[in-house]
Amino acid sequence: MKRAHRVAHARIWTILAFALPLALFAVLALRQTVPLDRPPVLISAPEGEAVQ
Amino acid sequence: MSVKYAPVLWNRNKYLYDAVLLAGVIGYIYLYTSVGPFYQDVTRPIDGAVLRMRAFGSCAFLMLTIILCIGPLARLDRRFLPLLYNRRHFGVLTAAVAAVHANYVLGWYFNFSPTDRYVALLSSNTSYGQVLGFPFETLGIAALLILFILAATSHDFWLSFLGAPLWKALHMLIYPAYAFVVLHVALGALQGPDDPVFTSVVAASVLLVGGLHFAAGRAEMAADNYQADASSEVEALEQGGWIVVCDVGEIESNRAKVVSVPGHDRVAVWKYKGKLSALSNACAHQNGPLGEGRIIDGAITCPWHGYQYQPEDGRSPAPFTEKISTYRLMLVGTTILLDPNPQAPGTYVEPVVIGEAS
Repeated sequence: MKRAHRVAHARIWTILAFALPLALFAVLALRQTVPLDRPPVLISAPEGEAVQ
Repeated sequence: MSVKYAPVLWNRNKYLYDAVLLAGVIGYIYLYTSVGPFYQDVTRPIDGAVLRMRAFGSCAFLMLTIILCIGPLARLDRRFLPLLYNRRHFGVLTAAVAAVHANYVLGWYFNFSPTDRYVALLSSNTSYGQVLGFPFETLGIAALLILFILAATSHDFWLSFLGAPLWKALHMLIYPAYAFVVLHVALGALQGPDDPVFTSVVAASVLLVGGLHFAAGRAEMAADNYQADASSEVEALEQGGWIVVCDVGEIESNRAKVVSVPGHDRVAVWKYKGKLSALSNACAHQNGPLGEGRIIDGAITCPWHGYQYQPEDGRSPAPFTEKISTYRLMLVGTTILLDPNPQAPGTYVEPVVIGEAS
């Protein structure tokens, strides 16, 4: 029989070995990228004027 | 309750380990800060403080990755055992490097905040309900706090004071700390401009750490299952609760066979000088796997930190006072049988003489 900490260790890593890569790749997949056709400079409308 | 203070005993190996460690960290920071600017996006030049912040942050992440790989590597291959020897110093240095990273973050992003910078750090983003935009700083703070606690309690004094099971449980907080760090990086640094190199490093780290722990766990489980099968195959040899260990020829001289005993801790059966003795597999120091060590100068030597025990009575040679449980053995033909009931720690048990069976 394994000592208690070895059992806990095995359980923790059985979860982490699957959950951690999944979480990492899910976050990377959700990552937002800027559109390719964005203007080189961010243009904001002057205050008080309607944005077209 | 009082605990005797045991000072750190420095030796050549510890000096060498720490020197390599320090040289590695200094070399990494130097390379990152001197070579890094040549590879940056010229349209978005990075400030020196940000560069150092990233240098220390990535260094701490890589150090944590290596620390977490040492354990399973040492279990899978004995040649990695020397890395385990001074792993606690590795951890303390990692906490220090992570603290420098945190200090740069505070100094760069929050130093000129109208509110206190520590308050600003915790209150500038409270969007805990969303994934992207999650206040990743909190995850870094949680990991840093854990690293501090582990560094502060890494000395043997705390091991004696808290006792091995509690100390070990406390230091297993390093696993959630690693998960926090990975999420801190994924939701923070990796959400910025594309950085395929760092993204690959983080992904490789996660796969390596998770894969190695999983592989080490599987190997251990396979060893346990083998023990159970072997016991059932030779059930006829079991007498009055004794369990079959293995054939005497399966154990190398001055080495041990580790036995999984149902309902008890693991036991290491040692073969030396034509004799057999059985002791607990857990070192009294840090629960190190004694059975993965060897007999040096007549004493069982723990592979982790070199604690030694006499095979006949499980006592450390004088002037040391550690002692572990011993077990009774029997040799039937060439088959070793073990009484799974432990004797009190330090109890002398007459070794079994192998004779012609070996």
